[in-house]
Amino acid sequence: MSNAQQAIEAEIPYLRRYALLLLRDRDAADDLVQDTLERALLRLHTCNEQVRLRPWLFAILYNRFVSDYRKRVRENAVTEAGDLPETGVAAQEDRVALRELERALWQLPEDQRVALLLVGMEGMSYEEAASVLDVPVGTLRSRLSRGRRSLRLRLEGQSAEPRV
Amino acid sequence: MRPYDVSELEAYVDGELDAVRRAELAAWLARHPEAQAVAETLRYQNAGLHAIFGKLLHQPVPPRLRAALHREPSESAKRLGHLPLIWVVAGGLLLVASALIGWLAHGYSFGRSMHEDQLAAFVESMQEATTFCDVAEESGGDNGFLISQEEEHPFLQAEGASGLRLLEARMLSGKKGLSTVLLFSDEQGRHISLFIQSRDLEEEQAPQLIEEDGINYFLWSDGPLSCTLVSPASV
Repeated sequence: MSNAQQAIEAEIPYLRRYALLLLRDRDAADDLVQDTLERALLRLHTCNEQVRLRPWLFAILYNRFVSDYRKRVRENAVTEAGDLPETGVAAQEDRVALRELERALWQLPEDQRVALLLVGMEGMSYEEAASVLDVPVGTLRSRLSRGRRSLRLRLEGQSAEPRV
Repeated sequence: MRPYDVSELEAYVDGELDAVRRAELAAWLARHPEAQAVAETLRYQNAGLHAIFGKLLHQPVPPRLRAALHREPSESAKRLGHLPLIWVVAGGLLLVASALIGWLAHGYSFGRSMHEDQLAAFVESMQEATTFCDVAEESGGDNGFLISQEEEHPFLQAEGASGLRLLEARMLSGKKGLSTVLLFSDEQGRHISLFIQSRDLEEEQAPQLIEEDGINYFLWSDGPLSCTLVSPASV
């Protein structure tokens, strides 16, 4: 196995998580990841040293999601994807708060949610996240801001902008 | 220092500010508790996402995903990996088809199932097409025979589809109206067919490659056209 393949293999857990949060279906998510891996190997020559591997892989995955997998999204399978951790969050009130945050996240429009997950969860830069979603950085920031504002309002019990 | 805005606070929390601006904002936040609270809320959201979904990273990876990195990609994946070349060939074929139809249909009379206005509209839409997508392979009755000859096509050669020769072009009328079929042959004598017909604009179809019984069907649609490129899987 080449160094590149080893590097890609190390990204599989991140790809699976993102695919699962997009599709909310484990089998469909693994199909999407497998599809992504096969395509990544075929296009490896286009990924040079200046390209960060994770955003590059995520871009392939998201492109495949949009073009062929979005119809498999399980709208009602919210909690399956985001079960709260059983350890690491000691206080019950914290767990409740996180549950509320998770619920509020799923109420967001998809474009805002995926932007939040890329930046807030994956820790990507705005430029990287924008490249994954194939949108300008300004659009990414706008989605991020609206998503965060909606989250805050929902957590405060106020009405947020309607889901699109 | 200028007052903060939420967008800049987000950039601060997300690590997007340069060192100077970051230090300025940190100092300013220390003197403005309400802005500090907003920043903390943003941090909480990021940390919350990690806490909620972090454990998904520790689930065992199915063997099939690791295996995908060790084996040769499937034939269909290989084909998709070379999609740009397919698009070049498909685009070239479609341009040739458009030019041929435009030329041949000039003054061409079907005299059977096609009305002249319908043909004119179809030819116009063909000529206006600049991008391509999709396929719907369905041709009905076999009718108008446009051309049957073997000749080299410089455009295809120039675009990398060297050796493709046009064998024949046919107009067919079926349930969905007029369609066009172009039959090409490559250097090994393998046949490649391109089906083009008008389509329902409300039916969205993403580009798709289907391999079945050793035959590849590459489907795409764009604007008023629906196309199918049919070739042996070995091409």
